[in-house]
Amino acid sequence: MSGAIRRHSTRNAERDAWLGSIAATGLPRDLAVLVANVCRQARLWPSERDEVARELCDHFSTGLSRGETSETLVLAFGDPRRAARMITREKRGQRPLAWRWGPTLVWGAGSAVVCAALMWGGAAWALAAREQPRWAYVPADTRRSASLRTHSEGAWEVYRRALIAMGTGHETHVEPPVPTAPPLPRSHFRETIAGSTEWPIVRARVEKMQPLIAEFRRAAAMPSLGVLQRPLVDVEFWAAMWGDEARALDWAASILHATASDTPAKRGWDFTDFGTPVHGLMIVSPWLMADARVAAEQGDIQRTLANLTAISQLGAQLHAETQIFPRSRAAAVWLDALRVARELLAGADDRWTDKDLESLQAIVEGLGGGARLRFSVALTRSAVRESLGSAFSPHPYDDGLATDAVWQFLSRLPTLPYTQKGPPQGSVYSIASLWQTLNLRQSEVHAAIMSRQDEMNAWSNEWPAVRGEAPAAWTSVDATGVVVPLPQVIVNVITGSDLYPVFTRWADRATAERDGVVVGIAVERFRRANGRWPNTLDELPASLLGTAPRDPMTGRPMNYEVVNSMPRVWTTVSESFSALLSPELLTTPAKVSAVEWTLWSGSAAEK
Amino acid sequence: MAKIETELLRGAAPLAVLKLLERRAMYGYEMVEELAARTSGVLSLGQSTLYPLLYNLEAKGLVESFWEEADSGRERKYYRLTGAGKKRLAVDTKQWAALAGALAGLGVGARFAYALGLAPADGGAR
Repeated sequence: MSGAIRRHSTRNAERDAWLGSIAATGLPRDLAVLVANVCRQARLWPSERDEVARELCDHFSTGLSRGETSETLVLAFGDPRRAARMITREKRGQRPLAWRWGPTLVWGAGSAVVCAALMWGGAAWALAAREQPRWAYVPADTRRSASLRTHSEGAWEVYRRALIAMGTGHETHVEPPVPTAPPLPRSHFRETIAGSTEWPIVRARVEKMQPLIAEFRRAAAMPSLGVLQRPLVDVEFWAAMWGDEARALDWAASILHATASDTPAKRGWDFTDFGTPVHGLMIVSPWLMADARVAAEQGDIQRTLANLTAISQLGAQLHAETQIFPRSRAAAVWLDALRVARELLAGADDRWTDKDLESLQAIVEGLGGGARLRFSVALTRSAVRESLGSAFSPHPYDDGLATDAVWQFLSRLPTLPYTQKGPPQGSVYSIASLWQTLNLRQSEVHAAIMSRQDEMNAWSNEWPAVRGEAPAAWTSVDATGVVVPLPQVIVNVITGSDLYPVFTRWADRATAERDGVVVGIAVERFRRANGRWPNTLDELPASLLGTAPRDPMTGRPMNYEVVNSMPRVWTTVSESFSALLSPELLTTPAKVSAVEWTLWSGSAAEK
Repeated sequence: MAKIETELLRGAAPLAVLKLLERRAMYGYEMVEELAARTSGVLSLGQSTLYPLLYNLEAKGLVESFWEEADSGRERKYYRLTGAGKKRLAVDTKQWAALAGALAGLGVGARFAYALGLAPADGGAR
């Protein structure tokens, strides 16, 4: 305490030293007051003030000693306030550089910080603020969706709970970490079969996630979302992910405002695309596939069949409820089920009763809704049309190059080999991207096509499947010379939205695969009942195979034969067409020759 | 004595002070007296102006100060030219000489130039 007082007193003494200097000179009062006023008004450090006081005191003392009067000296000195101001300025000029510029730098830095804060704040406000759109489509869509199907009727609540149960982090949800196992890509859940190297990892995860998978099965039996719109679905999805609906709404609104400055129509958005349900089912389907395999391995056939049923239902939901593009996902889901069914049939042992096989047969028969699997056609047409929607406007790039590329693609289309990821599909996208990139000039492209129409017609005539199925737009250009609106020509002819599915015959392929497995199950059931393979399909009673399916590739009855006690169901394709039939796309049946395609083989069942 | 415009005085005062200090160190009051005497009162600086001017020159490094005991026994602050101050004085003297000479050539300010020792007594007449 006393130390503080001492320090305070010391500071005061230093601060008031200049007063002592004035007093010590013994100046007359008016001069002493003048000096004191100047020094007091000068905003200086104590040492500077003391120095000025001493100098001025000497100044006036000298004046007095020269015979001047106080009044004269006061008068001659001038305005003390002005003197103080000038002395302050000049004395400060003598101070160290850091002191002189320090305040300026501090002010500058402070101003910069304030400006930056204002800018960032403004930017944040601009980005975060929810503008009022001219058309508030989020609530509008929500109302529309709600009118079609109430929220509680959909399976989304189940997905929501399942997603929340999985924790945070999208990928983590799909593949919860297993301490002793390396991470597996999601595709491995679809493709890893029992007995493979990675099977123990998948099985461990599946067993750990049983409650969640049960939720998925339950959800599959419900309508997924009804006719919901993508923004709404995304809101739902992220609300579940974040556990914060307000944040999700804000996020969706900001995205929509950022990307659709006016109205969705202006951007060409129709909101018929489904993002999240697809994502959700892409998460669900692999889990169900894996669990079907695990259950079969464990002998829990009922759970296996329940999983397959759920996958089939998911495909049906996607196919029925979504538009255009996601139908390919429906196809993928159905083909997942077909893939697993084929595996299960190959490994069916005595734990599989005839009733189980009958159920499996019914499930497989129902894949694709029992109709032709048209999804691939839908995929192609929609993808191409969507991709090419904005391809026609003047552009300085090399039209000839792009046209040649398109032509080369067309020329190669019939001979493009299938792979799992699919050059045909990939090529369509590539061409579409090319068109978008080059933004071809309409008139030149049209001229290029017209110059090659004979070639194109000759080429098309080589393909019986094309004859009679070529789009009218093509023939009208050819026959009458009438210029059909180019986008229509391009979409129909160049991109193969109609030709491509005909060439590739995905729908027929998928149907053949499905029916081949159905026949295979019937044959297996016959073997179990009679202790031998049927010699022909005609031997199969109606209880095993109601109506023998026809081979969609040939239109004839499905081929069946037993060679060396080994049955197989197969189809015949033309030699040239066989180039398209790489079996890896859908399943892994043996490709016995260039003209025969095995849909099902009883070799595993024999074992 | 004609009153000198402030702006004109502001330009001349630093040179006048530097010139005073050219020969010897001086203290404030002494400079006031010297200026008044040698310029016939023309450059009689207000005393409230002199000290800020000295501080300014000191800040620029043209003059330096030191305390010394006067005859009266008091501490007194003296100013003297630095090397930089001498150079500046030389430069400024030339400039002012040129200016005063030019004005004198026009028959203007010959006495003023002479008073500062910057122009010949005949006013520069040729």
